[in-house]
Amino acid sequence: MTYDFLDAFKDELLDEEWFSLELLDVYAPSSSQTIHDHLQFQADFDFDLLPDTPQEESREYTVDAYFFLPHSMGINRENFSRDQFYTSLTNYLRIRTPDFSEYQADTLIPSADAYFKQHLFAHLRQALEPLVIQEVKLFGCNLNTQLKKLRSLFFSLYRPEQGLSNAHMRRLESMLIHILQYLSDFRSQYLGKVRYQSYLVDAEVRRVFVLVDEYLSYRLEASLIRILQYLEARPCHFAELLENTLLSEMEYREAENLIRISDQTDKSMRERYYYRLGLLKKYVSEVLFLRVENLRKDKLYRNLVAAAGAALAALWAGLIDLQRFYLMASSNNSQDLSDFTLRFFLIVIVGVVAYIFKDRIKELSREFFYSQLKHKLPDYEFEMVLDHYHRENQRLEHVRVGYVQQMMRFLSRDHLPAEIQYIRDMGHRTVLDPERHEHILHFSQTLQVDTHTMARQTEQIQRLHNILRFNVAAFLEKLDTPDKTLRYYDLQNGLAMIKAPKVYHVNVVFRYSSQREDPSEDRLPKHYEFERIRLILDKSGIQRIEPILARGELGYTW
Amino acid sequence: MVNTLFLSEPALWNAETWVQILAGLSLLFLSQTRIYNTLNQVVFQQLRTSVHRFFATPLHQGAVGVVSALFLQTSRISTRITSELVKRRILSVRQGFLVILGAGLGSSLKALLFAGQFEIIVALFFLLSGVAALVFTRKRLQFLSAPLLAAGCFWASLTLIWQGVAPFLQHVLSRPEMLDRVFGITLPGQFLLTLATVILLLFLRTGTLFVFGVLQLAWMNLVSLEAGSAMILGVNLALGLFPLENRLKESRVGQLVWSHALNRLSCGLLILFFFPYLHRLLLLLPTGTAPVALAYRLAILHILINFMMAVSGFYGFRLFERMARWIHPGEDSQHSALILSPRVRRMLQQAPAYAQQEVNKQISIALEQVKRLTDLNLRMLSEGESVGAMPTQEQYLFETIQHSIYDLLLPIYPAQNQEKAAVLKALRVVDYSSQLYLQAYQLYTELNQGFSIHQFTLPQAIQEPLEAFLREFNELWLVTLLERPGRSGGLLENRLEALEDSFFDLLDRQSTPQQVWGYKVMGLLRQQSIQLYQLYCAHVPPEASAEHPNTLQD
Repeated sequence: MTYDFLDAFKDELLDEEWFSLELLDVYAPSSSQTIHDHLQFQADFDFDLLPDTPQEESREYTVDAYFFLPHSMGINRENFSRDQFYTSLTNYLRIRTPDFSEYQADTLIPSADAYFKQHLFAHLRQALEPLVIQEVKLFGCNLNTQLKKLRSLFFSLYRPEQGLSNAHMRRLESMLIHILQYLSDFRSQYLGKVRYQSYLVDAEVRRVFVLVDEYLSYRLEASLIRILQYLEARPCHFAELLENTLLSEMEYREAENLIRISDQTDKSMRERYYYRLGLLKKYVSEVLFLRVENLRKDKLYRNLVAAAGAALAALWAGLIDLQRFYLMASSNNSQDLSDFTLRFFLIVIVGVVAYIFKDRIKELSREFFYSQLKHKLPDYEFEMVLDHYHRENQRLEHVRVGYVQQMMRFLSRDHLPAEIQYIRDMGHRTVLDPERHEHILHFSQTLQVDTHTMARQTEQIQRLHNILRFNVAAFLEKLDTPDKTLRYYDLQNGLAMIKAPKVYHVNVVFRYSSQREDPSEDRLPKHYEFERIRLILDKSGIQRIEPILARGELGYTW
Repeated sequence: MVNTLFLSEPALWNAETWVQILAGLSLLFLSQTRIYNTLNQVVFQQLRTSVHRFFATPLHQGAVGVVSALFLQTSRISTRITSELVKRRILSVRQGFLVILGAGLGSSLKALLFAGQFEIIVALFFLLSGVAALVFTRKRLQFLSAPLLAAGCFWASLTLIWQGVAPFLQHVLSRPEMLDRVFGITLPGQFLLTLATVILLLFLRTGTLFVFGVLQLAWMNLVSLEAGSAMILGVNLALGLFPLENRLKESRVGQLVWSHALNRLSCGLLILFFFPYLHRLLLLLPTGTAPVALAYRLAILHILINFMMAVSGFYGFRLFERMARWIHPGEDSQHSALILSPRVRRMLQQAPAYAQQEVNKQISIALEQVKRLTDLNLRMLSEGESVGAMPTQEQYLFETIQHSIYDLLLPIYPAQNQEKAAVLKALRVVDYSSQLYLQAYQLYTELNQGFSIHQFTLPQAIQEPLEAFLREFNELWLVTLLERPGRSGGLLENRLEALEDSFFDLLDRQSTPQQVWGYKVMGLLRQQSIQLYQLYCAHVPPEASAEHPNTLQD
């Protein structure tokens, strides 16, 4: 066993039911906004995939983000195109890691147990191979999530002035011990067989166990070090436990010949470490990501609109021709020369004007209809598919989770929904207040989730996690230098000069709405929630995010 | 009825005929004015915020237009009321435009009643409804009786005018299809007839009467389909030009009116161009035998034109608005900061803290508004002359805030809740602000008239006490706005009494107009001082100001 010190805690802490410790809620926000790096701002949203009632067929979630860009940033509908916006946007859709409670206490990974039970019969064990790969990866994701929860719990309990109370320390220790117990069980139950009976294990299965183990080892180290940094100045029992764990983990890594970083490690090794960690992360978490199939239809819409414009122009041309025939027919009955001249000129003028109109009708109607439709039609439309190996059916299934529509446009203040305008102006809305000079960029993402199918096919998958990462590099091009020289008069020294930061505020208002589709109910209300943040930018990138209105403080049902 | 109208020539110069025409026209314009005034008062005074809530969607806006025009008898009244709503920022230009489109469509539906010669029945219906509203219904619906009676008079006036006008028309158009002979049935002829109708209507100033006349002529078989349709089109073009006759100061109203005019003009000219096809379409309609068929065809044409104008306006609003902005440029200003959309209201109803915050904000806006007006008065008193242009009376502002309090705070704090004190406090503050505003407006009018029209001056001897009073008045305003408790009203009363004493010391035995004016000003200043102190007591926390009882008494 890797973690020998766990025996000392077994009776004391492992008896506690750790799911009753209310730890799961600490790491379960339904939306959050963070700075990914100095140029990228990340917004995460969670959506429920399971129906509320058995009759529910689907659910629609819409996230609208309104970016209020100051005029001084120089970003507007003329110089910031739809393509530029989508180039700056990175979108990931994945399912939330299923809970640990899914696993039975006596068996860690049921499919792996079944696999090793039948490892002598190649045809039986190979049938289980995809399921084992899927479940081992899920296990890896799960344990990583628990490590994140531990970290979040620590930061929510830790006070720089007082450190940790005994009760809090006990909660953290209990959580860590449970995590280590799972990791230890994983290694003792499966890794030995994988490593030392490799001729009875398929290559892919062997790979998944070894790589998940390596990934967890790196994640464990990183998570514990992050916590330990805070406790260095305050030695306590929990810090001791962390250090023992890290020590055991390093010994394990040395024994298994995994990468270990030390002051002797050269640059290429450090580089390799990060690169490998990235590869491992992708490999393990790929089981959570949804496959998206683009259903882009805007070409079709554009052609339909062009056809409608051409039809209108043709209708106009036809009517004009008829009119000309009518005028010419009338002129035949007339004997008067002046009347004939008048009619002739009238016909010529009508012909010229009609041609101009025909040409313009075709172009303008195409532009008009397309601009009108553009507000209603999505820019991108894609289907979300989850490649999931079904345990009972024992086959790989492509579960259609639903579809997503994305739309981006610039709005004028007149077209801004009243509640968004209200939230934007909250705090400084008076009759005397000057109007804010901002360009408004609206991004909308609608997810139509097939909850009925999800409940029927994958009951353990409960939540969808949507990650939107937006690169603000395009916003920074026209910004002023971040350090402006500020001159002031000092009482002691007279004229003085100082550098003052020059920043720009980009307010972002999020509107979340959800609506169920249930044929058994007559009217299904739509629920709305709002959130507002402020991005503080300067020429070098994102400085910070300020929360203005927390999600759920304002909302309504319509 | 129609056949009796063919009178002999001597009947044209009969005084009775002229009495009929003039009485009918008077009744028509009086009833229109009465309907306008009553509904204007109802819309702006009683239902202001309700009106705004009702205009939630474009469909509502169109429907309001149709129904209002049917009820108000003429789209012109709807258009005028809508322009006022747009001017006062209750409606946006787009909302107002959609209402006007609906009003045009609704008004055109009356043509079917004219074609069926149901005007007497409709007049009776409205008159009886008006009487019933006055006598039988509850008090809250009694305000409808006046416009209903006026609507009845409007319909009756049409018959009266027609009885007077018919002999003239019969004399002028003695031969069938006379108009066709004058203008010709060709397209240029129709164009000229349409133009003539537009010019005539700009003098006549009512489209309804003209449509009624054309349909009556159709019954008498005095117009052809071509001539009748040209005149109907002329009416519709003129309807777009009516609102332009007034001087358009406000850019929003100017843009609205021009958008409307451009829509009607462009659509009307297009229809004129394709008139032959419209005629053929109308001929296909099975509407009975002549002359009934002709009257119904023209009525349907009127509706069809309005429908086409409504469709073109709905889809082409942006284009027309852009053109209107070019003709009548002006900055777009924000909507009223006070009126909340239904969604924002619902959102705030579910968040008590934010609802309270919003009400407080609205109250501070109201206080700012009152302060601005009293500042203007103080400046006039201080400088002894009229300053600036007359501000618009914005009494509705306080009603709007009152509605916000009812909407936002009452549902949150039930009757037994202790927080109900917050609602009562807010209502009291709004009430006192409103009263103070009214009095300040009265004082403003008085001062303005005194200084600028009658050239009155304030005696030099009262300058010093006046300045002291004004300073203390401003101090009290300041502590009210900053919500600083503990200010006594005694000081203001002393300053006011000193001012009054010095004014009374200067009085002669003979009362001159200037003295009477001075009395009025002094009286208004006292009332304002009392109101301001009441406002202060209501606005600052009661426990703080309770230590200083109100010393100002009227």
